[in-house]
Amino acid sequence: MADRTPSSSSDASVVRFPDIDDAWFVEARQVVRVDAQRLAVYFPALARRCGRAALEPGRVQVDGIAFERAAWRRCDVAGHLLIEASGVEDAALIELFQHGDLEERTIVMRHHAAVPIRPSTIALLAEAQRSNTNAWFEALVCDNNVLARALDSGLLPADEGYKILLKGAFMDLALDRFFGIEAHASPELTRLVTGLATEREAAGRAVWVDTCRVVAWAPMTGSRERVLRGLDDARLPYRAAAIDGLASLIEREHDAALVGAAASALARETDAQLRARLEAVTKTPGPRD
Amino acid sequence: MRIFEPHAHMFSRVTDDYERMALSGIRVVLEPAFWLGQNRTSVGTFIDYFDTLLGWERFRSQQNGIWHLSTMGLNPREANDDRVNDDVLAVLPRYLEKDGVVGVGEIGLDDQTKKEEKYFLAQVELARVHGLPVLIHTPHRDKKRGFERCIELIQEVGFPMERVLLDHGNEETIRITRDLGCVSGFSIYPNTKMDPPRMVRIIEEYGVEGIVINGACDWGVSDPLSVPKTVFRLEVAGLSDEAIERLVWRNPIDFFAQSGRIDELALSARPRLDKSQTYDGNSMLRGQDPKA
Repeated sequence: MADRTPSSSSDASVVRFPDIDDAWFVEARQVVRVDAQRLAVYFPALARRCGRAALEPGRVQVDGIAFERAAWRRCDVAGHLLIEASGVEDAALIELFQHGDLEERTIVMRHHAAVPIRPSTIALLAEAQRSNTNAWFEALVCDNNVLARALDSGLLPADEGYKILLKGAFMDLALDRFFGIEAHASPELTRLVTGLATEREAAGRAVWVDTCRVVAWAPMTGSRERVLRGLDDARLPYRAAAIDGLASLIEREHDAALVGAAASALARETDAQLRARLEAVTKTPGPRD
Repeated sequence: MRIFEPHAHMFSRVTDDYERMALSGIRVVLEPAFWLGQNRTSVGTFIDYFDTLLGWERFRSQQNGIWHLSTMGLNPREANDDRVNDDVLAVLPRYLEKDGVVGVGEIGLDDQTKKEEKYFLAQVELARVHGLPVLIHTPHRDKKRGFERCIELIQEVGFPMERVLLDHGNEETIRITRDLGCVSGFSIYPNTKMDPPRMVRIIEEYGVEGIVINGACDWGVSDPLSVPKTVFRLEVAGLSDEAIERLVWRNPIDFFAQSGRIDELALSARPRLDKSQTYDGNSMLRGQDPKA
């Protein structure tokens, strides 16, 4: 449903969606264009009126904004278009979230994935971090690059951004749902993710499956050992993460011992896909190549 | 027996009540917005209350295996209060569009003032605009006259009588409402208004057509198990299971389904019990293991 046509510079959004032509929606959009206050009356009915059917899969990437279409539902699109038509400002968007039900809040969150970072994005990131509600958290920061863009914008302090990714790890959300976050790798992020892992290990609980990927971006003491241990994990997703982590370490350090560890792991690995990945890792050029 | 409890102020009840209600067969509770024991002084407190009914209270109910629906409205007592009446009316359209809001209520008359009539009619008009039925609170004093006045007002504005539930009825008012085409509600209290034995006699005389019963439980002397206890009395009196189910399930479902927002199939099954879920970051566990 979403296309990749950049909007004109006068639009608040740089991503355009084709119109929804339901009579109810068409009327709602006409009304909120002239009376933005009516947005709050139409918003509760969005899911009921426009449905929750997911869009077809596909990556939208326009002017620095990136998101996965399949994460959007028809009611999300309708809500986004109503917000855009109303031209409401940040305070009104936050109010819409505060007095919305679960669906309304999710729609407000998802809207922010399709627009440039604005003050309401930062305020709602704090809500996502605080609330512990998966639907809102995922709508705002998963399957899109909102977190990376918020950090790029300078409006979100790095420490706050790292805590949001840590919350995602705490909720066992996959790293690849946070588009572009690797550009914000840092020793502090490594420290936070490592801390969560050691705490869970001490409690005998499973650690976040992507731990080895993140700690290898900006390794600290113990990161290398964690990645090497991960190569022998009995669980395939954890071994895959360790292999990715190993590739990152080799790219950074081009340490012959790490390449040797990859070759050794290749000799032990039984899964065809992981073997192919390990073969590629053994040929990874480092900074000195 | 599946029970739809069509009038319970769970906001004022403890979590144990939910558990006992669920174990007694109640699958759905409808919570009308109402007066909170003392007047509010600003619209903000209404907004927070409405949000609570749709948020935490719905979560708390479902965490105990009971679906939670609501009606929204400005109650007649506070309709008399100029500090809040117009402002509450202004925010109601937003709340009348919320999922799970299946009617306008409690509205109606209490002291039977002109102001109450003004805001009653304004909310009947909101019900018409939003395609919802109305749940009408009737006065506790001079009840018969209050019933008749509510009916007059409804008829004057031509609101469809089948979309009207006149609540808190008794032996006297059933004679007024039985042939109007509206639904007659009876609030069953331990000692006052209407009790289970009297309710059995009314059902024996008038049947179950167009009647719903509720506990109306609030923070006063009231009983969240009034409906299951009345069901027991009706069974002992020999009423058929079919008739009892019509009274405590089919009738309220049919009435509130006029909102177009009731999925009977979904309501027939219990909500999924997942104690690890949170609402706005809060659970009901107080540190307990979700599996306990």
